[in-house]
Amino acid sequence: MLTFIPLALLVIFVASQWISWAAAKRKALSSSDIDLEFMNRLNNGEKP
Amino acid sequence: MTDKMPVLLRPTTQTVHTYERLKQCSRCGTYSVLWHESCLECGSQRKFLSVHDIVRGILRRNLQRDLLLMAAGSLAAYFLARSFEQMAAAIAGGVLLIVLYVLLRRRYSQTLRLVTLRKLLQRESFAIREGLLLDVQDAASDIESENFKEAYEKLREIGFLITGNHIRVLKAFCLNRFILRSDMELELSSLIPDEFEPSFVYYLNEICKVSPQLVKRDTLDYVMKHRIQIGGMIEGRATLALVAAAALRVKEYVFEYSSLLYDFVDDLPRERLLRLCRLLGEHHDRAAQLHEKAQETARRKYEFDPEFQGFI
Repeated sequence: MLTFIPLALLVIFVASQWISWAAAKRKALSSSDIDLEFMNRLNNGEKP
Repeated sequence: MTDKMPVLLRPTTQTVHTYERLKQCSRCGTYSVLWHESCLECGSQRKFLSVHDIVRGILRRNLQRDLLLMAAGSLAAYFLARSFEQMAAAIAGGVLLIVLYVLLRRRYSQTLRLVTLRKLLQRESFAIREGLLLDVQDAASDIESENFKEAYEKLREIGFLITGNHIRVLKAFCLNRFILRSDMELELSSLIPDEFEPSFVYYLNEICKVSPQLVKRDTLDYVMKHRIQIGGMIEGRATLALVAAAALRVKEYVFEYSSLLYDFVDDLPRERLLRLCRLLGEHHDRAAQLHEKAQETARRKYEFDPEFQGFI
C-alpha cells in the first residue's frame, strides 16, 4: 500500500493546481486590470 | 525664456500596457525604462529582459520544477512497490498524472501567464521603483550638465510610469528650453502640475501658439483655478488670451468657460472672434453676457467687415 501514498499525493497536487487555475480563470483577470493595479501601486506608494 | 534650442526628439515607442516599457538587467536585476544598452547599476551590456521574457522564464522554471517533483513522486511510488502490479501502477499512474498536468497547464496557459505577471509586478514593485529612481537620477544629471534634450527624453519615458508632480515639473522645465514646432510629439495634459507652476504656464503659452489642439478640459480647469496667479505673470494676460482662443476649438468649451472668454474677447484675433460669433449665434441664450460682449466687440472693431455683418 505504501506505493499508493506518493501517487495519492501527486493526485492531490494536480487537483489543487487545477482548482487554483480554474479559480483564477473565473476571476477573469485581464492584462489591463494588471496594468492599472501596477500603475496605482507604483504611483500611490512611496514615490522615487 | 531665452537660449531656446531647436531639437529633434527621439520618437517614443508605443506599448499597449505601461508595464511593457520595463526591462530588467539579467545580471543585477535592476529595472529601467530607458533605451540604454548598458545597465545604469552594473554597467553590463545588452543583457536586458522584457517583462514578457521574465514571465516566460518563471513559467518555464515552474513547469520544470513541477515535472521534476512529479517524476520524483512516481519514482518513490515505484521503489515502494511490493509487486510487479504495484510497479506497473506506479509508472502508469505517474505518467498519466504528468500528462494530465501538462494538458491542464496548456489549457490554463493564458490565466497562468496573467497570474504570474501580476505576482511579478506585485513582488517587484519596490525594485521597479528603485530602478526608476536610478533613471530619474540619470535624467537629473543630464539637466545639471544642461543636456536638456536627453533629460526630457528620459523624463518622458519615466513619465509613462511615474506620473508624479516632480516629473511633470521637470519635463516642463526641459521643454521650455526647446523651440517648439507643431510637428513635434508634444504633450500638455500629462504635464499639468498639482499646484501653480510658472514653468508650466510658460510652456502653455508656447503650446497655445504651436499646437492649440492640445488645450483640453483639464488644461482649461487648471487655468481657471490659477487664473489670478497666471494673470500676474509677465505675459500672463497674453497666455490667458491664447488659452481662451484655443478653447474656441471646441463648441462646448465656449459655454463651459464663458467667463474666461468674456474677459479676453477684446484680445481675440479676427478669425477667433468670428468663430466665437458664429458659435454664439446658434446658442446665444446659453451665454447671453458673452454673446453681448462679442457682438459689441465685433461692432467696434469690424463694423465694416462683410463677414461680421450677420452678427452685428
